[in-house]
Amino acid sequence: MMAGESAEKVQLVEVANNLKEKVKITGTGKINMDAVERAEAALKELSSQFDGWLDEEIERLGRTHDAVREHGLVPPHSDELYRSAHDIKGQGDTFGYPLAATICGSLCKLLGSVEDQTQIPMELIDHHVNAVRRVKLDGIKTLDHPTGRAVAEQLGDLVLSYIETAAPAEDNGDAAAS
Amino acid sequence: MARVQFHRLSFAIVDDNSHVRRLLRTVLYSFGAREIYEAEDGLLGLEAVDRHHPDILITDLVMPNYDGFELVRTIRNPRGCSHSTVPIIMLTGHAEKRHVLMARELGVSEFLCKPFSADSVYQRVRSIIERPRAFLNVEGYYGPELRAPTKAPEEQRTSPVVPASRPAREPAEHRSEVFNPEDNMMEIEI
Repeated sequence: MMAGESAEKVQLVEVANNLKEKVKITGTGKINMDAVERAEAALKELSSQFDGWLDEEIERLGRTHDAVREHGLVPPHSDELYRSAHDIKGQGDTFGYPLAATICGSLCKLLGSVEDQTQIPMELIDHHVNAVRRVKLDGIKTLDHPTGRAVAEQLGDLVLSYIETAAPAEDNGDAAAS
Repeated sequence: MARVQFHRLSFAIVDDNSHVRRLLRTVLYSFGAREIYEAEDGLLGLEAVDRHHPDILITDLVMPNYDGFELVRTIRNPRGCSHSTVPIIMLTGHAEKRHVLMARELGVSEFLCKPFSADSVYQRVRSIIERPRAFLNVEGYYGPELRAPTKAPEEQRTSPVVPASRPAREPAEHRSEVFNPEDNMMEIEI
């Protein structure tokens, strides 16, 4: 609401939450960052499992890819492929494979940017899925790797070229996101 | 040194990915939280919020069946949820402005991008605790008071304590002019 508009339309439902009292912040001054350090240490301990977790995510991506190859890029298979790629895009970095995250980001962009997903060339999807498998297999983690970088850039360029020629999604990707 | 007694807080985590839930649970547990409920989709998340009334809800956006936006929409309907004022942190790989603004329009309290760090989770939780916002019901919006953009001190004194920019839906064509979808809004405040 802009200044000057009537405030009568506004109903204050409830005062702000009282979590500050509930957590009873003790002491004064800067917040103690021990909690963050403890969490970072716990995540570091957990990181020994990340390689296996990424393998599971890539297996899932492979399964959803197989389903799309069998049934076409139609719901619910297209949505499942999008979600599995999106999960690697989101967590690939945490799992130590930012390159895999980049490639899956490119796949998400492809799936989320065009109105008619059924027109997307299956080879373009195959290339992304195969590339993610390959970088994990070969342990190529970051964009510093010349071949890995070249593959990621080429896939990104192919996606951009395709999107330019295809009709955009109505909400520019929200459909896939939901 | 100020210490937050995290063990007094309860959380609900809604994400269809078990690895993400595990990461979040590890982070929250390390902070000291012990009451942590988990749900793997929006419907189960809604059930968890209704049943357990967590202090803070952390939800993913992209989920099967009932996504994060639908979950927030249902929660922020007092007739649809018994805990409609719960602070909500939306966790997502969709960092574009349009998603941030949609989240804001629906009444999300904080926005957290994947991949997340322990520190980024901590900062969002701290923000909810230390900067609590009044809850508003205004022209179809039901959610926390929006943070106003920085204003001149004089204007701050004279403005009503309501959203500086009402979360009205702007025409789509206007949005596309204003927002660059490629912008990363990790640091944006809702």
